[in-house]
Amino acid sequence: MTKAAFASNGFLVVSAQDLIRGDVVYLGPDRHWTRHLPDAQLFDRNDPEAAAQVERLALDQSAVIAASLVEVFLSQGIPRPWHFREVFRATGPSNRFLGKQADQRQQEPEHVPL
Amino acid sequence: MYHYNEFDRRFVTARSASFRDQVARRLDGSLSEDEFRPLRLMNGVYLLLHGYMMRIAIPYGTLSSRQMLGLADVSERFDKGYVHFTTRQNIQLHWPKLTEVPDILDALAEFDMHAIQASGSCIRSVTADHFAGAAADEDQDPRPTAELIRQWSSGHDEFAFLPRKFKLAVSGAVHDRAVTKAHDIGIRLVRDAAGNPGYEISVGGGLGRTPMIARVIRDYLAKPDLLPYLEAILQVYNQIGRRDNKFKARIKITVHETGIKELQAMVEARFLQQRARFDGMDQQVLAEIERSFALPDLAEKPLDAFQTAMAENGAFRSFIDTNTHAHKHPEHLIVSVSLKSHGATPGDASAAQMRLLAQLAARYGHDELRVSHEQNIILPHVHKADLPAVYGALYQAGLATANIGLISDIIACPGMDYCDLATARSIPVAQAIATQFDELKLEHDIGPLKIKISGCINACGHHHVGHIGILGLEKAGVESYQITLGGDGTEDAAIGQRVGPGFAADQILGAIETLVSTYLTLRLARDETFISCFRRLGIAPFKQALYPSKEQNRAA
Ligand code: SF4
Repeated sequence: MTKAAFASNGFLVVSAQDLIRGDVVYLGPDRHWTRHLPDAQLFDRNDPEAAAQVERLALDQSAVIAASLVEVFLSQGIPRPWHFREVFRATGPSNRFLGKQADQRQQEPEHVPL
Repeated sequence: MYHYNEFDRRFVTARSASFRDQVARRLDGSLSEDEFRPLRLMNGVYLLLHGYMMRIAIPYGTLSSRQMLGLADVSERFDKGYVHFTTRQNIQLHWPKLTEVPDILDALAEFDMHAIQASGSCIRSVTADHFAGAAADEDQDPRPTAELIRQWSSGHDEFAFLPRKFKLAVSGAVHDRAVTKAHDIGIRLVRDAAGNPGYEISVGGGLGRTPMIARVIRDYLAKPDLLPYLEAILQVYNQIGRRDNKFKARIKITVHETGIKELQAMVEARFLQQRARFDGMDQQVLAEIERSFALPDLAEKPLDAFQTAMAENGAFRSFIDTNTHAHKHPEHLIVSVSLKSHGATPGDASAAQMRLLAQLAARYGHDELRVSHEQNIILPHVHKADLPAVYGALYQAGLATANIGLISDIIACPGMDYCDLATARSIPVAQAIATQFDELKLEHDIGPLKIKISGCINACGHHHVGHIGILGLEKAGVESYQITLGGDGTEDAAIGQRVGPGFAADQILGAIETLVSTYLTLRLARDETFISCFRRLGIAPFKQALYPSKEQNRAA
């Protein structure tokens, strides 16, 4: 169902991990890195620019590493990854209130239920 | 226990200094990520889902109080105030910053610890029976052999670039508590017909994508021949082990493809050459190591307090019955402290819990602690007279859960909550099962039952050797759990059989309940354990209970 949501309402986000902290970052509209998925730049899923950014980041790993594309869809205006692995990356572990979910500003997608 | 000498210390501090330099060069751009990645892996640093993870080696799971205190400090100074004890008797920090790793390595070196051999295609940190040197059923202490292997394999240049990682485990007791048959090389201390100590060597065990039980390659190897024989195995593997396909690179595949007989012939030929190159120096080293592992001075003390507590305190009695094991010395017991209080994350310990365990070991346990591959902490030498005090302190700290070996004493790998390779979560499944059976107040009635959960096919949670194994997979974009039954990690090692199609995340707890109630109905008597019952009846009744309509359809 979420995959279907992506197909009809899908965007791409460029993600990576910070070289020093190792935590997940997303490329923002101003070409700065943000730690929060809601602040990420949304690329149309057919926009070649998203993949071009990942290619560029594979060559320049001076600030971030492990760049990849994340498929998201909008849920009440907030981007939500369709794949649960990306929900974990955007939120933190489900067994401890650590990682992004523990940051002050709470806009992260809801966690995956068991 | 063994204490570092000057050589060990220099080795560890030099490693930490060179990694500090490597991190600096990574940050100033002189090292690319591709160049840097193998260097950080050599120092135990992985990149996982939420950040870096640092794996710290605890060779053969042995820690002193000082080391446990040191680790507690490190977890607070550099991480989030807790550590995760792994299924290979190691520790993982899940939130370190890359720039602080050199400081962590320096801090570890202060108390003789490091992250060497914690990752990479090398000989990994050696594991051993966590009751080593204490268990009543032990004939020979595996730790001196394990320490000899540690010294021999640390920085062994010839084996720094093996086809894949290489794991050894050592056991010296009747019961195999080190899962030796699931290791690349499993070593059992045995005796020949004349009573001379030596080794039985097995090779090619492993879990993961292609689970295999190790095959015996030498049923008796004289003690002085150990290192030349291990070198012979490693040399043959280094030469013929497959480097073309990562999934076929472990020695179990070499054993499978070459055949144990042919491999044995190659190893024996190589062994004759290797043996001539050993001059006996290693045996002198071993003799010295053996002296450092002598049994501590075990005093005799009055047992009145222990007996009174046993008679009057049901919770204490339950703890003793469930969490202690017979010691060589009849007035002592081996105490297993469960890191699985119902609903807790298996293997996680807070800095405060670690400090308490260190204090108890210092005061009542001859300064010794062990980490078990089952993710619990062991106090190997506790006098019965001290047990009421030890229990009281554990109880106060929420560490007295009497569930060792029971359904809630679950092994679970970090899974999708932390691991970048995961296909599903492990930890919440373990939490849900433990919580549910605690609420049902059934686990003591169910008796010994090992559930092991992995978050992907790599099987770090040993699911193949769980009586009930659970493997988390992804199916159509959601978590799905596959169940195996009848696995066994002991001397009766067996790989579990897949019972049928997987269960969704919200069905897995129900499936486990069905299996357990099926067992309770089918067992002949209370003392027929789950695994014995399974061996008697096979998989069919469990399958039918889990997939009733299918079985009926087939019968119709
Ligand atoms: S079994 Fe898979 S998910 Fe679990 S720790 Fe190992 S690699 Fe990660």
